[in-house]
Amino acid sequence: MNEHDLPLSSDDPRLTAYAFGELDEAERQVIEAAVQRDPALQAAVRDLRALGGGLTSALGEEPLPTVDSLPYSATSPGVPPVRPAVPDRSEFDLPKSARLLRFPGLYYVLTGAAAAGFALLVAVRDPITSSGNRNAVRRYEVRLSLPPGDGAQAGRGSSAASRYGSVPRPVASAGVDVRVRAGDAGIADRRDNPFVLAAEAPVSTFAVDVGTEAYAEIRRLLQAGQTPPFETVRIEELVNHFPYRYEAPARGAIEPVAAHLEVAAAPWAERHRLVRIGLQGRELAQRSDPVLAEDVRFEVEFNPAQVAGYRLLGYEQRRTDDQGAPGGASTAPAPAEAGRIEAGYRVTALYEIVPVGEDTRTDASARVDPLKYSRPAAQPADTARANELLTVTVRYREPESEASRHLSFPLVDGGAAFEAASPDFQFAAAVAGFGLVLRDSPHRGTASLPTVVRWAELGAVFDPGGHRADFLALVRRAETLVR
Amino acid sequence: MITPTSPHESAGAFVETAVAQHQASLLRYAARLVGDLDRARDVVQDTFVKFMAQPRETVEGHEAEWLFTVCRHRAFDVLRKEGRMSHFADGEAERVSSSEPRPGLGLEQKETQSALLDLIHRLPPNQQEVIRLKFQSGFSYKEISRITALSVSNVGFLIHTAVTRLRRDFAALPR
Repeated sequence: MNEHDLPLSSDDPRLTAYAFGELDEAERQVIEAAVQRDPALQAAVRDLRALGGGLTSALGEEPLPTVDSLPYSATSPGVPPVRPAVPDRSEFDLPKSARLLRFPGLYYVLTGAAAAGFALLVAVRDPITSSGNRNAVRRYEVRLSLPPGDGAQAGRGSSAASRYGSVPRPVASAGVDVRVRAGDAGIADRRDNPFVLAAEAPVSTFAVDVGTEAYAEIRRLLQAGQTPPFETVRIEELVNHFPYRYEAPARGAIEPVAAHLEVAAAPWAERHRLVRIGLQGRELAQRSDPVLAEDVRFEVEFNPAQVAGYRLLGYEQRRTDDQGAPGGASTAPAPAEAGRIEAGYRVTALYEIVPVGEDTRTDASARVDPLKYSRPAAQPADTARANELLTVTVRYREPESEASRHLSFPLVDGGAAFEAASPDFQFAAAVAGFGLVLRDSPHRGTASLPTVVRWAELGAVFDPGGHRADFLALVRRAETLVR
Repeated sequence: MITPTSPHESAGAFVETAVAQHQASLLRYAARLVGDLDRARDVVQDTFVKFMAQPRETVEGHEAEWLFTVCRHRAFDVLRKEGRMSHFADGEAERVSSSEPRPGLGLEQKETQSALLDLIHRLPPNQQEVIRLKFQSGFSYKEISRITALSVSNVGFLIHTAVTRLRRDFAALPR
């Protein structure tokens, strides 16, 4: 018997596929022959096509979901177990590993002091291959960890990064790396992070975990016609509310994060530089992917040969509790809390920099008070590093591992104007500028709502999710409320 | 200066065209998968970021299929990461309102549409998804197969099952 003579059930998926034009030619002919013999099938095909037209027009009008309605559940068929093979590019081709050697006894050799619990970590790193001209020399980085409560001059728990200083340093100065001099006793400096002298406190830290709730809160207030009180305007949360185009480390890479560093003129203070630090975690590789990294700390070491002073934008509230009385004894802020990095992690931090050569004393918005016994700016140990503006170091421990690791990302300032910066940079700067205006920050410079709109428009050229258009609408809303 | 550059930044028009053509439908698709617009925006943005990193020749000619595939996986990543894959068991949505009486007698065009949407919302999620890919986004069975990693015959079976049920339920609506 010929296949063409087989009766076709009206409940055959091939009939549906035929009605919607989904069969290849050979199969289409088979089904068509069956349909032509059977008026009931012809009626079914007409019904299916009518329904298809109805579905197309109904779904064309389907509103976007407004409530949290989840169509998928764990038991649903069709939930894909793996991701597609979408290649990722990693911005940094970092060495595959940094070997860490522990020499607990070496400390005594170096200093002769008997400090219990002290460990000297020597990291032997392979050259950074992404920066071509610096790969001739194998680097030795020495990290000194001080025990808690180690005398008046020790930075609490801070690690003494030594990239731009002499190596190794005596303990007396090794602990003074993180020291923030509170600025003027004016109230303004209690509200906003002050500028810090790079020569005195070259290392800054920022928190791994950043909320993003502040944006929703100030949006709610502005839309209700209220001016947000300054303490609700947390710049780091505003900036991190928005996604940026940071590429993740390549799939299969051992590095948990990739860094995307950029520097250009600060739009609100054209003689200052603005540094954007973007860190992006690896993507989820599979459903059961473990946490990427534990005990993660971000450190930024500024090169005093390039940087006179710097200021971290936002993160104020995490620091106030530990900040000493203004004008009192210099007190080191606690380093930002360590955190975990999970798949898809993304953070953005901004630093405003006063370059060497700018008169920090006459610029009221960037007053950097030197310490009483200030040392001259340190000479970088390595002239090849003299041009570097800063280095971002990510310290972490792999899950279920004791060995700590670190990744270092140096940044050289190419002197870019704000207009030449990437749209992501421009947009993040605009959001930070919005925060400066809403906080009425003493460091707001030329930032105003109209300038924020201009900066954000530069950065909104790529806006597939529509977030940036939403931000622009909010700033324009604020213009009707805030001066 | 260290900034990401992508192969597409020199061919910005190609990307802009893709964004203009597919942004709205991707947003709609992602919003149905993750359940809210904010997360859907993130998913769509991430999708285009990945798109920009692709060499043009690897995506040209099947941009839509590529975008929907990546968007779908990104959406499931978000759901898994937030542990939201198990909010309710499969089929629970069907029970919610399946006995609800339909208002009206003769259904006007607009009422027909909203009645159909109601019926679609009661389908199991995997059927909803293929129905949307087929009739909302206009993909063929083969394209849906590549987007969802289901076989073509599996896609055909799901769509057949869904439309059979929609026909039955629609016919049962009071007129």
